[in-house]
Amino acid sequence: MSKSPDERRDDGSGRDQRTGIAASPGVAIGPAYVVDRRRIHVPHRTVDKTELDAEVRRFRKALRETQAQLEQIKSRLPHGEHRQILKAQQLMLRDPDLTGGVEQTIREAQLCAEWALAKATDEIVATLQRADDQYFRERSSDITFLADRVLLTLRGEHPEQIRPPAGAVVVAHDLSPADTAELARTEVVGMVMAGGGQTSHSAIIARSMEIPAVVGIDDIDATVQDGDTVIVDAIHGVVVVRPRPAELAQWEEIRDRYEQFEDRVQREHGLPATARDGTHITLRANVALEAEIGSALFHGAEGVGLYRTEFMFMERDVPPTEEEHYRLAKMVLRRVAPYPVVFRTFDLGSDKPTKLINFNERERNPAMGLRSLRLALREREMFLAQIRGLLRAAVHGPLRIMMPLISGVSELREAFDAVAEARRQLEDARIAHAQDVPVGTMIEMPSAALIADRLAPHVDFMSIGTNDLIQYTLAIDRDNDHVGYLYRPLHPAVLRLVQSIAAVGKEQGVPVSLCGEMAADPRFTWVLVGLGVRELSMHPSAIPVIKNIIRSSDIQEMEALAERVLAAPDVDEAERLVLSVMSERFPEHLEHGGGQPWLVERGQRS
Amino acid sequence: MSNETEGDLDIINDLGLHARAASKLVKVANSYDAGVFVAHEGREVNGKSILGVLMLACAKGSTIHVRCDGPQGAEAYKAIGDLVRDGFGEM
Repeated sequence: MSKSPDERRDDGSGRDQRTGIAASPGVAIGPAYVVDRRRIHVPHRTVDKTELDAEVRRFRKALRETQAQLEQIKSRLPHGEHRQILKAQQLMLRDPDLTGGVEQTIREAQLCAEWALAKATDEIVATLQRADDQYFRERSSDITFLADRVLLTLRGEHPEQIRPPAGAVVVAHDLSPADTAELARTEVVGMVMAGGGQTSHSAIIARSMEIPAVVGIDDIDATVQDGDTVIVDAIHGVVVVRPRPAELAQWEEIRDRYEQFEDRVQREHGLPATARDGTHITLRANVALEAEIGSALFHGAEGVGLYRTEFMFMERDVPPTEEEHYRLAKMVLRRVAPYPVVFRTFDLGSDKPTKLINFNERERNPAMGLRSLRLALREREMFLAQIRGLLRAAVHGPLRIMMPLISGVSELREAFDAVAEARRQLEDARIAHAQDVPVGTMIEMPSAALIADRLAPHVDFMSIGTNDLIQYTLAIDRDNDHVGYLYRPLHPAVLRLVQSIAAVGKEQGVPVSLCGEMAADPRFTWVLVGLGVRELSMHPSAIPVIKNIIRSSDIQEMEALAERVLAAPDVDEAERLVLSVMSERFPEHLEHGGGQPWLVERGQRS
Repeated sequence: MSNETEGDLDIINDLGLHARAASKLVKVANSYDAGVFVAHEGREVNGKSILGVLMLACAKGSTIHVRCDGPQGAEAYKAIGDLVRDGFGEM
C-alpha cells in the first residue's frame, strides 16, 4: 500500500526505525531538536571546606533565579488553576525544611549543591510515591519538575527556552502544557514523543498546529541527538532516524506527494460533502481543546460533532465552575457559528485520571468500571454545574448536549432528570438559559445499540461511538498488545449494529451520526455511508480526504459495497473486500489518509 | 480566647491536605511568631514546610495532630483550627 521503504533493521550506519502511534497526520523530514525534560544529569562532586560558603551562596542564588523564572511564567498564564499550581511551587522553593536541609548537606557532607538538592528531593519523591492516595503519588512529579528547574539554573540554563529552529523536528519524552504553548509560536515541521497517546495534550496541540506527530515511542528522546535527520511518517506511525542518503530522497518524494495531495483535497474545503447523486453527508469535527477549532473551520467542518470536555477537568484541584463551562461553550459557539456544537458531558474514568475524583481503589477493569455518565451521576454537583453552564451558553447559538455511555432507557432517564434539575436551578435563580436545547445520547455499548429503537423516542439525536462500541462488542482492549490484533472494525457484529442503529434513526426521524475513529478512515467511508450513516464526525484534518471520497462517489455504489460486506461470511473476507474495492478506487486517499496500521499491515501481507 | 496550643483536627474537605490547602496552612503558620508542628500517622513535620505537610499525604477523613509553641502559639493554633474546620475555604 504505502511505498515507504521496508527496511526495518538498523543497517549498522546508525539508521533506526521505530513504530509508534500516529497522533497528527502527515509526513515531515528535518533535523532533530531534542527537548530534554526528563533526565537531568546530576554531578556528584564534593566541595572543599574552604568553598562551602560559596557553594551555599550558589545554591541560594539558583533558588532566587528559579523563583524569578516561575514568577515570569506565572505572569504569562491566563488560567487561574495553572497559576495556583505555580504559586504552590514557589512556596516549595521557599520551604525552610528543603532549603535548610540542602544547605546542611552541603556543609556537613561537603556535597555540591546539585547533589545535595537531588538527595533531598529524591527523599520527598520517594515518600510521596508511597502514599495511598493517588493525588499525593502524582504530586511527586511536581517536585521532580521543580528540582529539575533548580538543577538547570545551577547549570546556568533556562529550562523554558524551547527555541527550535524553523524546519526542525522536535523530539521529546513528553512536553508540558507550557512547553507546547511555546512550541506553537515556532516553525517546527514535526513532533516525535516517547510518551503520550492520541488524546495527550501534546498530540492535540500537534493536530491544532497541523504538524505531523508520532507519539508513544519508548526512549526515542534518548536515542536521537540534536541535528540527526528524522523522518516522521505520521500516516503509518513510523519514525526513521538517521536514514541512508538514498532512502532520504525517496522519503522526500513521499512527503511532497502527500503535501500535493493534501493541497488538492483542501481546495474543496468550501464545497459541500455531497455525493454525485445529490446525497449530502454532514462532516463535523471532533474537538477536545479550543485550539483545535481553527483547524476544524479551516478544513471545512460543518460544526463540531463531538466536543470532548474532559480536558476542563484535568490538571486542576477544584472542579470547573458553572461560569467556566458557560464561558468556554459561549466562546466555542461564537467561533463555530452558524454551525452547531455538540458538547459531550465529561467522560472521565480511572483510566483518565483527574485529581477531582478520588478513585479509592485501583479498578481492575476501568473500561467497565466507574466512568463517564456513571461517574457523573455520582459526582452530581460537578455534573449539574456543567449542564447549567451549557444551558446558559445555549442562548448564544446552536448548542447540543450529548450523554456518554448510556446503557439503556432507565439510565437515560436519570441523565435527563439531571438536565431537568439543572434547568430548575437556573429558573429558581432567575438566570437566563435556553429552553429547547437538544439532548442526545452516544450509542457505544452493545446494550444501547440493540435497543436503539427504545432510546430513540426519548432523544433528539444519537451518535455512534465506534471506539467503545467495537471494544465492548468484541471484548477487545486495543491498547493491549496481546489482543489488539483482534480489534477489527469490519467485524460482521459491529457492522450489523451500525446498520440497525442507522435504520432506527431513519424510521423514527432521529439523526444518527458516527464519531469514532472509523469516521476518519478513508477505507471505511463507503461502508459507513452505505450502511445508512449520514453524518460523520472526525478529527479536523481528516475531513478534506473523506469529503473528496464522498464527492466522487454515488450512493448506489456505497450501498452495494455495504451490502456485499454485510453478506461476507467472516471478518477476513469483509476486510479483503473493502480493501480491494477502496484501494482500487482511491489509491491516493488510502495511501495518505490516516488510519489504523493493523489493516494496512494485514493488507500488505495478503 | 482559648489558650489551647495543641489538639486533633479532622480534615473534612474533599481533596484532603492537597497542594493548595497545604499552601494555606503554611501561610497561616508563617504569619505567627510560633513553632507549628503537624503530625499524622506517627510522623510529625514542620507546619511551615509545604513539602513536609504534603508528605503527610492526608486524605479526606484523616485526623491531624497540631502542636504549637512560642509566644503566639495559642493564636497560631486557633487560626489553624479555624482554617481546617472551614475545610480550607473549599466547602
